[in-house]
Amino acid sequence: MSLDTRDAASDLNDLIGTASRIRSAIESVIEGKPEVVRLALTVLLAEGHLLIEDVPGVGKTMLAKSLARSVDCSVRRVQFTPDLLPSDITGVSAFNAEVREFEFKPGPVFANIVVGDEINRASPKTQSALLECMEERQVTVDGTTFELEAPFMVIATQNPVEMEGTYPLPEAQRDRFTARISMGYPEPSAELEMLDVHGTTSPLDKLEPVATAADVRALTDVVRSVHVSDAVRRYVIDLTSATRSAPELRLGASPRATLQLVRASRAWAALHDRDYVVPDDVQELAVPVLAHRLLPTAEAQVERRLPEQVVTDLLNRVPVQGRSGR
Amino acid sequence: MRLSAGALIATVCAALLLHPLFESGGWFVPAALAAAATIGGAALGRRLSVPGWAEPLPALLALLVFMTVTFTSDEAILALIPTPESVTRLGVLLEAGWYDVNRYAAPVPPYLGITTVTTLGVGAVALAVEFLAVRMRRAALAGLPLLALFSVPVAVLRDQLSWPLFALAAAGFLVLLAFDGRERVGRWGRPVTVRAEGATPRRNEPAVDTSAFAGMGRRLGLTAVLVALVVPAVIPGIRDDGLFGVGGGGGPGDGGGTSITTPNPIVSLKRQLNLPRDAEVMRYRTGMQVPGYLRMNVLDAFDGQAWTMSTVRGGRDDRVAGRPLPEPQGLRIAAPQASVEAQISERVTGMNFLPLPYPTREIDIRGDWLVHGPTLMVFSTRSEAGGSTYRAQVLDVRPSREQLRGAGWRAGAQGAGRYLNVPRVDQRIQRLATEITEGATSPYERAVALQEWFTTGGRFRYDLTVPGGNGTSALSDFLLRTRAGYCEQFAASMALMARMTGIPARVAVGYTSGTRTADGSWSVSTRDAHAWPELFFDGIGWVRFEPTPSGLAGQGSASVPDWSIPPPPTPGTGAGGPSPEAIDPESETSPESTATAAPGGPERPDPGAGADVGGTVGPIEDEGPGRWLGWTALVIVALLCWPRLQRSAVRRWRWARARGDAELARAAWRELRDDVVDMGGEWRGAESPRGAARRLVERYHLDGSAAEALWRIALAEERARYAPAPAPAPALAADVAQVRRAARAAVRPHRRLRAILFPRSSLDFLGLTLGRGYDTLEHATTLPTTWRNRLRRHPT
Repeated sequence: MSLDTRDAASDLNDLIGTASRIRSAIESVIEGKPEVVRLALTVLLAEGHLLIEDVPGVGKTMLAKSLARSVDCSVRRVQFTPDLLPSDITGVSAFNAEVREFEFKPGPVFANIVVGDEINRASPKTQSALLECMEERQVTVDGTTFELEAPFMVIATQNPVEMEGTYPLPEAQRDRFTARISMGYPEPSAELEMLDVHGTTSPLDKLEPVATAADVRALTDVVRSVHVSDAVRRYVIDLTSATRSAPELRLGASPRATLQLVRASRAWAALHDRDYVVPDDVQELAVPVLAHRLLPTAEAQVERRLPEQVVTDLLNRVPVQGRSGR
Repeated sequence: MRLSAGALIATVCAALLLHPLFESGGWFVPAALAAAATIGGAALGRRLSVPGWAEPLPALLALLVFMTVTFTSDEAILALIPTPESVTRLGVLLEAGWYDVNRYAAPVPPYLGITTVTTLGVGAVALAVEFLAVRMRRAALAGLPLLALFSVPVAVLRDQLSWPLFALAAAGFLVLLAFDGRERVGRWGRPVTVRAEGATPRRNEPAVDTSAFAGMGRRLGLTAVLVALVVPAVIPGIRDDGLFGVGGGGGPGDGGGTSITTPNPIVSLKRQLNLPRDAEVMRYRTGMQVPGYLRMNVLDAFDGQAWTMSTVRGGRDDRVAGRPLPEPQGLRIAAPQASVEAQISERVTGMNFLPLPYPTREIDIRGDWLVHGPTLMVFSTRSEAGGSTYRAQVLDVRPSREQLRGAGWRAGAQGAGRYLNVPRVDQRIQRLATEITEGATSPYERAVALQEWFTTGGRFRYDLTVPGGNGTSALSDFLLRTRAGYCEQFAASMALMARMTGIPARVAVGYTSGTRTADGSWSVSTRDAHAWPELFFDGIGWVRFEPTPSGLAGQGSASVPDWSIPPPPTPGTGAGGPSPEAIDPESETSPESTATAAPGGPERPDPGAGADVGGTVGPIEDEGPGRWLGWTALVIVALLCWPRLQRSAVRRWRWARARGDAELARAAWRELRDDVVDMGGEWRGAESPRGAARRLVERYHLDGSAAEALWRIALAEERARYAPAPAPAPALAADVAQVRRAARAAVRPHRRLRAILFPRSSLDFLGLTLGRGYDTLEHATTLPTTWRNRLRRHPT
């Protein structure tokens, strides 16, 4: 499907239409969390991966599954457990006795949307198996490289690290997730409605796909064309460099973070019917995109200064640059 | 390093205060270099880790070497290393300089000796400043040696120091304090952070973020300097006027400089009159038949407490030697010249003002004598008159009654206006003066009536035993109750009443003509000490009157001038009498010749302005406080209006300069920012246009169309900044005006008023400019360190 013949405005209209269809589809399952849904959609359109972190039972998996199901594409789900092996994710070469040669059995990662449930329950070795496919969108097994089909999105859920039986994700792994969102408990009214609906049937069952993989690919093309002015670029760079020199942080944001922040901001702008990025987009996304990559210093940890707070402080401090530097 | 630079800046800025003492700027470069050499030597010594007891030595050595190179290189080895000869020569130079300093009045020419003394002095101050600020880390204490430097011109000139120089010196000291503060805060320590490997702190990154303190410090410093400048200017009482208080106080001041130290003229007068034994003060010969009085001081200011002499200053250009004295004020009639040769008794001490007939045209006398232009007083700061002789050419001005009668005082004539100042005094005196002069049509007739009232009818009694005093209360006592006094009260009250009736008047103090001796010379003794009023008549100048009784029952040798005696009551001597000569045999000039003799014409500038040429700072007060107050008020009003005007100008300039949608949006946004700042609102750099709009709508409770206008401005700015193409912006100026109105309506009245009268954005602009200047300065002082570091990193 080609969008070349259309102008940018109708592209944007298409995007808004499709996105709102997906959003309402998800929201029919996840009630009372519109910003979480919008963030998830943003990550999808920014061709990123999403990490959902929260305590058990608030609907992490539900969100991942409903997002996956609302798009008509291949979806695989991996339940991470301590005994899960890397080959359980990427796939194995098995000997086919009929043709008398090894044959590659693709693992669950060969799908458009991979839902990694409770990713931090697996051993670091298994977690790392996702590294290559998330960043390079390819899998190498036994020296053979297999390309992954676009769109490709990993939606991982994890419990907070304080929970029992968890292995914290390594920094490199966390850095590959575009954003980390947290569900939070639902509002009492939303919870009440949930009781009514979920009491009888699972709304997930009724969820029909509202977009195709091709639609999503087209939408990502639209997102790529969103204008990012120099001023915004400079602002993003100022923001990420500020995390590197912030005294509370041991590890600042990587250049990949800069890149992903700009990408996500593009998607966010497009979702808000704008063909250019404004600093407000960056500010909205800075905490979900940056916070999970930052390591606080020991002092900051003792003072219970969370990276989220540090990023919020930086947002209040780093000047938004205009064209003439003011 | 930074502190040393601060010490140098402070010293050099303070040294600039010496500028008014010199005729030219030749002294400054060696003095500044001496400071640099001293501070540099000290810094070098510290770098070489000289032991503690020897720390002042490198600085001293550097100063000595610098002095040798600059002043006595001929006697030194390699023009550099001091030898006994060069040190001796330096001593000779210093001695000569010291002599010159004591001999010349400021501003002095930059002779080698004086320059040497100055250079050494500034070097010594630099040594002290460096020691206190850098070695002892007590930058505030370094103000004391700087104050010493500051006190030199203040003490010598007894003058208001020019305010730009003061501001500069204060700024220099503030820079030293600021640098010291930076060092101090810097020593609190570096924030300890465990950084990821490879993340090295940027070079030149301040150890501690001091910008907040620095901004506050700058504001405080600026305020302090402004207060120091403005408050004395606004409160007239702080001004050093009226150096010679006649009544009360007024004791001998310090010596030095060009200011005069003299015993209080009136006190001296009374003392002389009361001396048990008469003693000869001077003896003189003159060709004049009837010599005039010998005037020493002129008391030209009356403040209600006393008649006082305005501060008298003189510079090099006011020396009397070899040149005619300034033109006598207001004199435009011809008068014969006569010579006076005088010998002042050797027993006279402490006489700094020469007793001279008025008006003197030329005088030939040994010693450093200066003339005060407006009054023709001849005085000295160095020499005393005792034992000296002088030869003077004087004008024997004898105006006729007709000339005096025709000479009214014109407003503004020759700066005589200030001789009319009368403070609030006893109304009874005013009524008395009006009563006495009732029916007198011309100023002259009023003057004669006043003198008549004092001298005729036996109203007054000459009495030397009454206590001295010429303030309002003493005078009303004298005029209305006791009617007994001596020349001080007579002269003071006649001058006061003359002023009340519109005649410029002042009190002269000196001696009467004395008594003629057998050999034809005139002898003046202490008993001849006298005070008399001088009244001003345009075209004739200052004319002596004599209200004090003379003869045995009065001031013995006083004489009533002919012109002040009313003509005998013959018909035909009324106004415009046909032949004034006939009744005034003394007059040697015809009315025709009098009119042509004006030596400069009335357009000639006031001789008082001549005193400025001498290089003293600040004009000699020649106009009343009214004008001065007017100027102050004008300056204050201008200062008050300035932020408002600047704000309007910026607004117009912005809108006028904006071309195209993007620039219009930009202008609108900046206007909005300044409006918010003007109302004392906050403007955050970290806020996007949307964020700011959201906050402002809430902050100023904007609703309806005002909120929409604000959002239009914000979104236009957003598009201009970030979108590929800006949105068309039709009526942003109107939107800005609407938001401003709505926001102002939402704030408290005092903020609204402040936004209108003192827009803060204008003040911020000033602070920004000053801050940038300071930052540049500070950056400049860190450059050597930066370069050194670079060189170390790249040894090649």
